[in-house]
Amino acid sequence: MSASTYTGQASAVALLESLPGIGDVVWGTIMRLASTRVPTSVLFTAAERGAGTSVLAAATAIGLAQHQRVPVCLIETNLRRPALARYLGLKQQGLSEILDGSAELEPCLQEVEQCPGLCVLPAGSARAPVSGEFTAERMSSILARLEQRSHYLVLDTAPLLDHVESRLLLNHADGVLLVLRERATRLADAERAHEILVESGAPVLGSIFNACSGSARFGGNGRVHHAFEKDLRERRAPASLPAGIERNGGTLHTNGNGNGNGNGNGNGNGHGKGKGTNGNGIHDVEARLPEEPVSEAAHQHQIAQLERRIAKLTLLLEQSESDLQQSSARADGDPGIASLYHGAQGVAPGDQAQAYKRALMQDIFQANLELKNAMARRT
Amino acid sequence: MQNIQATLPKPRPSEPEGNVALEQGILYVGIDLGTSRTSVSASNGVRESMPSFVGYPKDAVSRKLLKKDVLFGDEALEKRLSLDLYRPLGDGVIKDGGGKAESDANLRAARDLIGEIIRRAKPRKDELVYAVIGAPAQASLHNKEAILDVARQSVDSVMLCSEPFSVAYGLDWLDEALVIDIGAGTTDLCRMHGTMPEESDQITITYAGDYVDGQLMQLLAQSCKGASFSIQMVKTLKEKHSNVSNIVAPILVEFPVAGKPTQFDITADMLRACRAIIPPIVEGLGTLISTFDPEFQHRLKNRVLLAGGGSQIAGLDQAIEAEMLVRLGGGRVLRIDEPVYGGANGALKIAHDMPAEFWQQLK
Repeated sequence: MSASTYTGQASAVALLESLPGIGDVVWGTIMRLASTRVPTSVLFTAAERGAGTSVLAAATAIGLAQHQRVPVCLIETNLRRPALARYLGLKQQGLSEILDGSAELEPCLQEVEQCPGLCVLPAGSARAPVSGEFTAERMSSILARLEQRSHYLVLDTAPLLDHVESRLLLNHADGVLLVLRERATRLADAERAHEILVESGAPVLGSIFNACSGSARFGGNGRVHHAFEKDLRERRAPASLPAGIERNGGTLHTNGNGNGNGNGNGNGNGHGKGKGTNGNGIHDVEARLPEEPVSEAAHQHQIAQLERRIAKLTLLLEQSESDLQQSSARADGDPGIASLYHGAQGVAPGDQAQAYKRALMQDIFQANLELKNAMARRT
Repeated sequence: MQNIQATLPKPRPSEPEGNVALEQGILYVGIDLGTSRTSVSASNGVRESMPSFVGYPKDAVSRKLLKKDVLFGDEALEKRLSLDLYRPLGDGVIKDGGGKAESDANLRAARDLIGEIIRRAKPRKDELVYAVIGAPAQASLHNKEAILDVARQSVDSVMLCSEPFSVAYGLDWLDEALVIDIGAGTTDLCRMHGTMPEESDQITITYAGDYVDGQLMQLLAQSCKGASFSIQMVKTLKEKHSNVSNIVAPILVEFPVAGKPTQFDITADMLRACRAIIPPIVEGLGTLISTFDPEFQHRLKNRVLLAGGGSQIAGLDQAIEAEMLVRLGGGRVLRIDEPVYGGANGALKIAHDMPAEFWQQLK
């Protein structure tokens, strides 16, 4: 495999690696999980799109690879809206092509040059998942092969409420992190996503409260914390979970200004101060990553709209230039050559055919006057 | 060569008639708006002629390369591969066929062409510009309106007049004369008899410069086997070698054959193509003569003026005389000194002689 190289890759990796809150809380939680099980697969999901799942999954994978110096595999399963290839400057071919049989796994696995130890399987070409393909043998085989070569397998999945197929992947995860976003994720959606996780029996490591401003309260009130904690406490932690980690993962804030509410002691919710890094946190990172592509139809619409504007402006410009040229041709530049005549002339008085010529002029004028009147009537 | 300035009267104080107090400089301009060439004569001594071609850069790259938004005449022809090239006048009038887009494009090109020819007349900014434009004798009302419409954007006042009449007026041949004005698209035949020519005094035929080009193209295609040439190449050859004389030096030209320059003798083809316009012209003259007062027909036959760009075909005046001898029992043809400027000079003279009040009323 050869690593993709694009100018933005290094900066993107650096951006993701430095994402505030990730290093302190998320990696720590996952590393503790890995102390009992290798390889460890961690699944990132969200209630709805736009929560920042891909960014956080990528940041986590990069951080684990950089700081643990172990093989990490990041796999993007959101086939509808691929993002990782764009973020990391990788070729688009990936899971989508492997699942439909048009590509093999190895050529699609891509290393990130700036992050040794990390290999990425992007989602590939955008398409809707085929029903059942995430539970098919081929998918299980892919995950198994990736687990063989990795210490950590980080799964970036589509939002739970929008895409049913993501729920099928919960069984493959040793730990699940639910990404919520301040001022974006609705409380009801967060609760429903949490219910789905609980019902599936997925080992929830916790939720990541993304883009937290610190002072703002989630969803306009704090109920979500309560709901999580209450519901999760009622569940029994699976035997496979390491001591000290409950299913109730608490809430991990990814903004430097927020409180790092990490659950790490197994005795309830240990509230510790989050690391107060400066900067704009997730907002800053997301803003500096490549933008999400618009759909083909929307793109074509934008192009058509811009072309119409350009045509209109070009027409106006041409007209203005033409008018300007005509006026400037007479007003500026060449001063011109003076006419022999300073004043109107007419048939010379001494001309022998003066009367005859004046009659001819009258005829010509009359014909032109009729033309002018005809034009005036028409307009 | 005739100098038009010598034919214009000396300046005098402005005319008092019509209570028009004009002491402002006035540039009179005569324009021969031709299918093939457009010529201008102005009262400041400027005379210019250029091929009636207008070219616009095909794209932004061409525009950047050419550093111009519009090119005219020879320059447009030379750079035609980078241009959308227009010859906006067909049969002496603004082309109006081929759909609205093409019609609009021709109008725009005609407007720019007239604007350019006026600019080349070098008017001063403090002068009024009064123009007379020669139009084909039988141009339709719609065509005349189109020409006036685009011309008004470039001058202060404008009039149209019949092209052959303007030629005759410029030479003071206003009575008992026949004018042959051979252009690219049409040949105008006009009978002058002391008054403004009426419709019955004028005949327009399409046996003109373009017809000769087409004939020559066909003949060369038959005789120069394997040679490749374009209509523009044929036109250039005609302008250089056109001849209808019986005694003529061989016309040897080179055409590429499979990429290799090959010499051809096109003398016979050239003579045949150029002579093709003579019978219809003489036939038209015969019509105008035969419908004239029998008492004065012989005077008409002996005062035939040959004008227009097409009149430059060597030996054409004598060939027409020979054909007139056969068909009409004789005749005398005079070629004007400056066929390219004949129409423009006449139009300038009309502009000069037009009373001030008429210009004012047509503004």
